[in-house]
Amino acid sequence: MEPIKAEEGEIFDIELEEDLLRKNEELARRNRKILDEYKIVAIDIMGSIGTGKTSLIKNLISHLKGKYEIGVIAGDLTTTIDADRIEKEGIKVIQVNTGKECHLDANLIKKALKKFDLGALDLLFIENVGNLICPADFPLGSHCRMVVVSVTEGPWMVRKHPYIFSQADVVVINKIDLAEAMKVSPEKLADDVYKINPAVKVIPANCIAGKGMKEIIQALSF
Amino acid sequence: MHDLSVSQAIARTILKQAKEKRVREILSVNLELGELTFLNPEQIHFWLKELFKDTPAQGAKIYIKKIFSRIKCKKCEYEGSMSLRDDSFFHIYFPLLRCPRCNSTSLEIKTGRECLIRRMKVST
Repeated sequence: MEPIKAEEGEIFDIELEEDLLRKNEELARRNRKILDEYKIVAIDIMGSIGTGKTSLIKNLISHLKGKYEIGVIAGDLTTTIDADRIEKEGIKVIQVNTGKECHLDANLIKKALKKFDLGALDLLFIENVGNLICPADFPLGSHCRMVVVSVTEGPWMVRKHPYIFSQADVVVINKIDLAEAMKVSPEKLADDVYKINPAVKVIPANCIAGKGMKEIIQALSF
Repeated sequence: MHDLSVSQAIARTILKQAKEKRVREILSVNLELGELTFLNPEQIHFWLKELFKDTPAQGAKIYIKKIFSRIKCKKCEYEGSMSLRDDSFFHIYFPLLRCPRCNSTSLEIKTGRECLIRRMKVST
């Protein structure tokens, strides 16, 4: 008689306990430590595509150049267009191309930081990939998270993306010179932001003409 | 939105472990996703099924547990769940990042941000 044999293989559990988002948060904390050691203030600038993130950075640089040593990390899927635009201001820019990724993460920032002479920097602007969804899940280690939204995106941009606005320290409402033509009220956008995040500072601006820049610099309070 | 890249990272971690432990087959995988992340369990499940094809995890059962958010208020020391707002303003349950007791926005998020690979069951 052929006896029934137990399977030779073993079955067991492997405990992994590995948290992937927490890994990013840990890396972000390490980035922050490096920035603090060198007394660099880093600002993460987020917002949808074409909202005016690069124009805002360019204008902030022209206000702050000479007073502070500034560096910029420009994130995009591809091209060096934004880095080239900012480089014209005479600033060191590191372009990070994420390829297919929808956001910057702490690991990419860690790599980019190695390209700077950190001892010489006071201020670091990090331009995130144009996106109002994913960057909210991936802190980078910055001291301040700023979200840019513009009237040309329509009246519902804030309501549709509550989470990223809930995480922001400063919100810029851009292109207010076009508000009338777009029939979008910057005040209503600001109201929506305050409903989600009462502690945030909201500043209306025109980043091409430089309107609102002083208020933004004040709000960043570095 | 970044469900594919996160799924790739999950699959990479699992398959690496399986290789190191000389596993013949991965029978099941247990994940935990926090409700405050932008990760969608259905999409993660779909991508993992795709990524596990032609690997030892091909037939693995994938279990995804939702982790509800808990906060600690830095002002009044309240510790517990957040208030969930379900009104026409958002059309969805959106966790209010405010203390339900004292209304403060100064909170520590205790749970709800997880993207955890808890364990896997394997056979050798």
